Amino acid sequence: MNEEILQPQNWLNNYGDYLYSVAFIKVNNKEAAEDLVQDTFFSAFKAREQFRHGSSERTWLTAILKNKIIDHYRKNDVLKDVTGYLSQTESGFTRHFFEEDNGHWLDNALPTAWKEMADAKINKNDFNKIMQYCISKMPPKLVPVFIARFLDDEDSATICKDFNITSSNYWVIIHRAKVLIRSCLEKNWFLA
Amino acid sequence: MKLYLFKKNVFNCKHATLLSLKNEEGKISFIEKIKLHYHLLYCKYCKRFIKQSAVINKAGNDTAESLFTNPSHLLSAKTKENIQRRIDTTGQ
Repeated sequence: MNEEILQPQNWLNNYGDYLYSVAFIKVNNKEAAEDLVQDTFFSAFKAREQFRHGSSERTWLTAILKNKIIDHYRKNDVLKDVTGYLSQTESGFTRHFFEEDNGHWLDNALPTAWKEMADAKINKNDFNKIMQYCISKMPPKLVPVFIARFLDDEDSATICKDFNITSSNYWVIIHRAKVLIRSCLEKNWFLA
Repeated sequence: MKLYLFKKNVFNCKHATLLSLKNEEGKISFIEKIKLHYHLLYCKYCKRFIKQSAVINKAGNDTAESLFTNPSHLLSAKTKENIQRRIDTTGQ
């Protein structure tokens, strides 16, 4: 019998920094991220009887952390009144990138060609760092959806349910986040 | 007037890029698809946006994957010690 056995005594060493990194990117706060990791280990330990054979320890712990982070967003009103937020910031966003009357790209926001992408010399590590920097610069209300979609690869139905947002708000958030992150990556990586 | 609205809607990069993201997830309607397609015949910038959006998606997945082998943030020794102590006392 080769059963997958939980090894709580090794959790911190094996998954501590990983879970901490996930939490840090999602909440952008050191203390909150530390607390989330600690809570994850405790909840996992308490629920260890429910761990199913054959699943991986890491996936299990990551799922517990994910739920903790959703709770954290709720407690901190991160996703409260998304509709109001989006309509208040609509013209500010538009003015940065598009002409207000016809929606054309502004001259200084036109996507430029990313030549460097062609040669495979990209240092992935550096690129990931800039990606994380750009996420940390994103308006906090856009971050949960952006990460769930593009880092965690969740589908839109799950995201709308987890964060309690409408599908039209979902598309507005995805759109703004993508426009912002594209522009940030371009400024900090491709033109650097 | 109808033609004016049609043009306003179709030749609108803000709208087209949003449609392109719906398209990326396969959640675009038939009419929207036609609008997007038509827009892209004329707009190289939105074409570029779409290409780069795919690059970003790939990079996002890579970033998520890399966090396990190469964590971006490390718990301090002191924090680790505190957490470990609490785990040990709970574990007994």
